[in-house]
Amino acid sequence: MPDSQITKRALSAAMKELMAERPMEKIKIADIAQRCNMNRQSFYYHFKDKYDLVNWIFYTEFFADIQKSLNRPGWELIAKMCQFFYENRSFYSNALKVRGQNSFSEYFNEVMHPLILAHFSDIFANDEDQDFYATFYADSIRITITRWLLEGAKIPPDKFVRLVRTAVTGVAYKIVIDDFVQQT
Amino acid sequence: MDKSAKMTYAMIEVAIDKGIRDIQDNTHRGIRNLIDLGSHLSQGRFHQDFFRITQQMLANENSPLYELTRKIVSHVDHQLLKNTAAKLGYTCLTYGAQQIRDHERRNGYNVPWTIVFDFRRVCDNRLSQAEVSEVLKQGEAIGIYCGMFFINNNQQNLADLLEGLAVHKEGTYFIFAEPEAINPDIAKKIVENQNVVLILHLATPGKQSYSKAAAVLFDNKCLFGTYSEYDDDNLAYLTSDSCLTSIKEANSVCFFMVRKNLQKPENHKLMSKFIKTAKTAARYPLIIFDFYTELAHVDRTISVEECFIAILGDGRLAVKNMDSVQPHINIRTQSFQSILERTMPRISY
Repeated sequence: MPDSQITKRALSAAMKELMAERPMEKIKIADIAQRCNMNRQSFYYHFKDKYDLVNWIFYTEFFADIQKSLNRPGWELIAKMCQFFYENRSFYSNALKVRGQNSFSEYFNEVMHPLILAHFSDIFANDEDQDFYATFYADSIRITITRWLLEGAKIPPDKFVRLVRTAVTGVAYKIVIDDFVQQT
Repeated sequence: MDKSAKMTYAMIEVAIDKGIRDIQDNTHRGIRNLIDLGSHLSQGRFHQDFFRITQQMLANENSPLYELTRKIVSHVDHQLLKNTAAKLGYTCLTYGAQQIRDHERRNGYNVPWTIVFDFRRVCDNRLSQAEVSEVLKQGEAIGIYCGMFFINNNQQNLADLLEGLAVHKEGTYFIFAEPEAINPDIAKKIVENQNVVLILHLATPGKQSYSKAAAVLFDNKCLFGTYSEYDDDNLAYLTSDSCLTSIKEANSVCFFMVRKNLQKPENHKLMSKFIKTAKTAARYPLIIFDFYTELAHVDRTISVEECFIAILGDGRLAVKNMDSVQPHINIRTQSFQSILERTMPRISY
């Protein structure tokens, strides 16, 4: 493994330990560097700031985790994503609490939106307004996951996904039934 | 593309977007992180080798790769850059490569990773754009998402080709053209297409038309490179500081060297050493390729065996290189797959 990967792993492990101990805004670069016996300069060789490091952890771990599940049908993939966040809930709820420019919540949106969009785009593949519909679902699911994590992910992931699914399909079912009743 | 591939592609786009922003902020750290990320997540041997070699080069803080990266990110249209990187790296060399392997396993013949079209010679019965498009479609069906077009100096032919390629949104196309074929409208169309890398012919050393065409492509934020045929007579010049400096000064990002007629053993050695040095200890902010060797390397990584195929302007086929024409095989009379079946039997299993 190249040196840069080894260093990144060490910094990631240190950051995860620190995130389990205190709020993200209380973590300084010196704390992260010190925890893996490096100097601050070594940190900045690899990352711009602590948000950059958290983004790295998120992208590499999340992508590695869901990569093999990307062909799962329907809601199974959403369930797999939620399972990942649930298992790492203290890290992600801590990271999402910090808002603003360059924060993790911005990057979280940046990653999750196109991913959920691609997931839903097939359902509306033959519709000229597919982007609108897929964006609608991508936005709502992403925001719901964010809220769930910010509230400490108290609902287990299988129940959480079941609720989201019912919210989506239940409304659709009700609309179809109402339309049918009106027409007949 | 299936859903799983679409989602992987979306994740790669996110990584490239962030990579471009990070490189703008700090070129050295940004490109190192993008390559580290690729290395961390790549699974195939081809990608792992690529990322490992690049990591080694970037370990040298003075590597010209940093200058090349800064130049590309500052001057190339970002959407075009992202599309080219994601389509070449994923659609073509990962998703397409898997389809190629599956097809080869099922059918017992080799499939090239790219189709070369040599349209440089003027001919009366030139393949129409619809015929070219049909070949590309047949190629996509079995996993070929890359095309390389060698064309002459005809501006209308290039404009028609760009028009035709615009519908092949999942592919990446390299167009090797004479500088005279380039004008500002063509350059704008290249950026609009979002799937073309233009490779300018370095016909005569110091020729004005080359630098003028390069300036037009540069001003319009195109991603472009340079190519030249090499033989015993011009190899020393093409590998000289003076030639490489002029290519660098034209803001070209890569240099394809296409073997034409190399007989002298000392020139084979010179070329081999030159390419090795260019990959491991580059001195110029340019990616240098020995065209046939590089194509064969990718073929061997995907298919185990080399399987070069070129289609000439009149539809005839060439295998091994663009000069080995097969007079009795023509894309107009046979499907692309039946031609592969006939010309690319699989030897090793």
